[in-house]
Amino acid sequence: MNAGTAARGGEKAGAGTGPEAATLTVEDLSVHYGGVCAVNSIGFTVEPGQSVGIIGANGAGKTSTLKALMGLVPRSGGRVTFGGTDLTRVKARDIVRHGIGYVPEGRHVFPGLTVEKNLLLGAYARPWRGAETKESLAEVYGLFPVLGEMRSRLAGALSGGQQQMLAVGRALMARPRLILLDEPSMGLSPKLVEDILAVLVRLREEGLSLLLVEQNAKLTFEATSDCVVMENGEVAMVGTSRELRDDVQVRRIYLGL
Amino acid sequence: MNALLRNRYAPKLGTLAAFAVIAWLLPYTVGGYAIHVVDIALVFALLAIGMGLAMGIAGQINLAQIAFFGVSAYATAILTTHNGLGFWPAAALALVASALIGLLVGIPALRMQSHYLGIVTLGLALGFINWTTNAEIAGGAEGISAIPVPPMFGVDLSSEYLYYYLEVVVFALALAFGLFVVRTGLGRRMMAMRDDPLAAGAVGAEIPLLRMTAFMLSSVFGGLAGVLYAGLIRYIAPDTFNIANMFLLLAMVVIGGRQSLVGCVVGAVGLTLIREKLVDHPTYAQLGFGIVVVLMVVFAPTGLAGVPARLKAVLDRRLGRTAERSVLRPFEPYEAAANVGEDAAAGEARPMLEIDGIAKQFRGLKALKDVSLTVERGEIRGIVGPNGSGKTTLFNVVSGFYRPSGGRVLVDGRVVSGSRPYRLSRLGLARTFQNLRLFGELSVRDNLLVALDRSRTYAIWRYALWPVGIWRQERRLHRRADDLLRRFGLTEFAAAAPGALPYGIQRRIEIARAMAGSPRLLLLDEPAAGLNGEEVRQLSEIVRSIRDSGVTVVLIEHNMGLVMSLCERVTVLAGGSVIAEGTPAEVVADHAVIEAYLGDSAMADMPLPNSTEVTS
Amino acid sequence: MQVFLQTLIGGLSLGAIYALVAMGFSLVYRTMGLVNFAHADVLMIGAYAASTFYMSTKLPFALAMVLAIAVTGLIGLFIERVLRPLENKDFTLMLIGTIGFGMVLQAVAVLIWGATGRAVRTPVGGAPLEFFGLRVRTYDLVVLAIAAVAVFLLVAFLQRTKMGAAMQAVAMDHEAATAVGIHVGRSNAIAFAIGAGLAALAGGLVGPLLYVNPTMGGTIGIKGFAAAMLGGCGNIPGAIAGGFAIGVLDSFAAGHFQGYSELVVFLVFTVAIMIRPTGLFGETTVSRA
Repeated sequence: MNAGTAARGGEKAGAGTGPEAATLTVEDLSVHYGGVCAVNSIGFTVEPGQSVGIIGANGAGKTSTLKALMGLVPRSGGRVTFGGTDLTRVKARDIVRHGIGYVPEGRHVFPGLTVEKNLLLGAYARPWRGAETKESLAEVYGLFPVLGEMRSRLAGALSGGQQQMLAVGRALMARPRLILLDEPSMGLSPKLVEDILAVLVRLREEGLSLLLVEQNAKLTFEATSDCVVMENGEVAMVGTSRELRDDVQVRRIYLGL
Repeated sequence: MNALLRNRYAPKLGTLAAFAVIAWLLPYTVGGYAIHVVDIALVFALLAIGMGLAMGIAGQINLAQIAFFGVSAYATAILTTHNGLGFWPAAALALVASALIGLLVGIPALRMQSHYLGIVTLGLALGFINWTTNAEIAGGAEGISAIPVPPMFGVDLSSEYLYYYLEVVVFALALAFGLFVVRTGLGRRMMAMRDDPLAAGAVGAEIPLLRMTAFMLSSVFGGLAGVLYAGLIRYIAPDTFNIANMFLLLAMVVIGGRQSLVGCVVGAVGLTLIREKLVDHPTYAQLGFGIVVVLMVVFAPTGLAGVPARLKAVLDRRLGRTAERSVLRPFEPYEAAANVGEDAAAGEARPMLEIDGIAKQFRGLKALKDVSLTVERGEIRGIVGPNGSGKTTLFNVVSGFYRPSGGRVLVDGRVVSGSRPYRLSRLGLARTFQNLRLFGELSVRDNLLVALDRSRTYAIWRYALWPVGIWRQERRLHRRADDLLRRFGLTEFAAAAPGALPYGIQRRIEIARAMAGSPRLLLLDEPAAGLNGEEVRQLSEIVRSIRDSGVTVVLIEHNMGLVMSLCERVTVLAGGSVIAEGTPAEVVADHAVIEAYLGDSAMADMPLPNSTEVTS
Repeated sequence: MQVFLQTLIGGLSLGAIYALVAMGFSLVYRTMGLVNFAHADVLMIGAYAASTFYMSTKLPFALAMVLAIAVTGLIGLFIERVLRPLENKDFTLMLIGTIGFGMVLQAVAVLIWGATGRAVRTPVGGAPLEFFGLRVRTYDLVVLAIAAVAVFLLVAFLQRTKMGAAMQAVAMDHEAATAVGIHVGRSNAIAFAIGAGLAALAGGLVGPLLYVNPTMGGTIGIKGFAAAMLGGCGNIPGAIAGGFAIGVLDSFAAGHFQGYSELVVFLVFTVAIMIRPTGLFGETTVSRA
């Protein structure tokens, strides 16, 4: 969770040229479900330490994009590289080993396991209860003290906000260089989400890059430097968050005017 | 075999005649032991048809078929040897007994499905075996011998040659009846229930009654087999009805093809003959059957019955043959009903849909909180809102899939909350589903026929007593299906399997299916999802025409452009509550709505771009 | 009262065996949604293997049992591998596929050991112990003790080890499990092997209580499944409670209805499961493996 960690992760993933090369590049990515085109040939990049948002109305293809990056849905075309590695050739279960953490839409914590188990599983790719894992655990408890207080509770018994923190914490346990965060605001109050995003923004200063998928445009503009606006599976607009915030077109896309 | 099922007029008369001649001449060509084997094979074929009806057609895992067989065989034996009844009266009572047991065993199907049902039915079958081995009246392990020869106008049925003819006649009638069921309304409904019980309920199929019917049919076929077996062997013992034979029967049905009755027969006859060939090596036979069953489920789940279709598909691909491309024809609008607008204008009509303080909780999660809205007759109402705002949950409550935790729903002034989906369907409510729930193994035409058929399940008495009535109704339904197919431009896809069609066409089929029930209120859940621009335009034309024909339409939609152009009024849900309602223009200017969508109400105050420029 | 307690005790050892069967069945069902009808025949193979190692090869009972567990574990891995394409897809086909495997295993057993079956010598002999006028067979105590150890080891595996936690995670959410780097297929295979091992343990233990023969799996297996359902499919405390419930029910039915005990057991079970299809602990299935 600092430059040194990122470097270690880089060596392990065999990324080649070190942390500064850990750029996510997406080119011509497409996803089809049956005959339906959910994502149509989109492209963008996330530089190391950068935070990028993908916004758009429901059904615009945002979640499908993230799942395709993680290999959780089959890609029907395109190239995805991260730090020089061609991710389209990596099995879904090994993506995390290349330094990408994933926080799914709707949290998807393991409800029947304790908070601590959930977090330990986040570090699954590393030695179980090793010194490094313990260190990460302490760091996550430091970032989200409430998780520390609840460490032996079942994750299913937590509130929505706490589950969201747990999901983020679980992703951080793998010490990723890039974190994919899907719709953290779903069903939560904006204040809570802002708090969680604030933690991630702080980590960004330590070199963590962030790809945030959100419907809530305001939250996204505040937490990111650049944004991609998606509409019907395509990239409708790209720009800095500051520019887009003042652009009436965004509102048109959302409200279908 | 599948082609056989699809084509209403197959098998052709010539084939039938050929089969009849073969069946007639067969005894002249085989020896005494062979005819015995054939007699046994026919008994298993009857059992397999019953099993196929329950498992393959209705999707009910029935592992008690061997017990239905046993119940009637034992009943025949006990009533003739113990109570001194004649063979045929005893046989009639035995059939009734097995039908009753079938209904009893079917009761658990009302509460559980799938593997649960498998374990329960298998347990009950074990219980029956336990009874036969212990009950004094059933003769314990020795069984019952000296069952009388069935009398038949002086024909000596103790000859297995002559008994064969009795069996062939019963078998042919039973198979014909089974095929008649499968190819008409009852069978279609059972297959629809197998493919998707929720959607079947939504188009008016009474799921509980259908499940019981499936078990009863299955047990009647088992009962017939039991009676014939008792008359053939005239000695019964528990060993015939054990679990190993149950699984052998299952192997027959799976290998033959459980979704095709003819396949079941082929499997039953084939395996019986093979078992006889290997009579000195029963263990190898069992080993072989087991291996074939495993290979079948992994590589050929449709069984032998599905092989021709698969071979054809492979051949077509090899030869580069493609079916000539069918074309989706344009939709033919409904005639407008004259009085729709007037009623509403006169203010005398009750609202079509009233949702009054509906709440829905899932284990503490409040998906809907006190939602109220009223949809007037002849309106097109849009329901929009961010992900997870409770829109689909609301549809599920209205259409009877969920029971609300509070509040009530009125359709045309009648309280309907808590009613089952099939009751709501009969009251004139129809819906489509966000993720498309077409009956995957039925043709497009059959998908519509299931929904067109408004007869009640109890009307199936006609299958037994007045088949002509069923046949006439079928002709009526097929005519109406043709009309509906034409109206929605689907005629060229009538025989296709929906899953293989492009998504846009599937969406249209689902709307056609919903309209088949002539609803008064139509709920569309994201009808434009996955459609391209031209398809969206067609959709909005279809929806307008449906409304003009006098149907009230409520739609959930993310495509805001469609909502803006189509809906008179829009209700906005967020976090399980209604946050705004009004005309599309009012709603998009509403601060709460913009806050919910964009997270920032301040953006509402920004000037809009020139609207003519961006309207699509 | 005396008779009542004696009947109760009579049901405990078989109950423990049903519990083991139910645990193996539940574990597999939980992790991959596979209803394993071959479980009963795996148990039968386990019983034969254990008795062969014990009586023919003259190995100590405990070692024979361990070997039997290893053998059936391999069988489990094989079954899982063959049926993997159907996992989480078609319930009915998977169920039929495992029935096919059951037929194969029975045939294999007949080919190896013959159709007649065999009696297995009790590894611990001696007169029954007496407590307050209640008689308890020593072997019953051994069965209970071994079952308790097996439960303890399984729970420890699931709670304390990385693989155990991963297996539970896969059961709860296989997509999220994949995203944290768990190999879902491997986890499922191990769950299946453990399930088969538990069946073998049950089979090995039941050998000296009943007669070992190729069709012995049928009744024990289905009662084990019934126990799993009664407890709430897919949870361990449920499987244990369900197992003992069926065992005790068995014992009382045998006492009161003699020959008809099985009929009574399955009727009572059917009524119970109709009243509560989710089983005793059904609601909490998500919270325990």
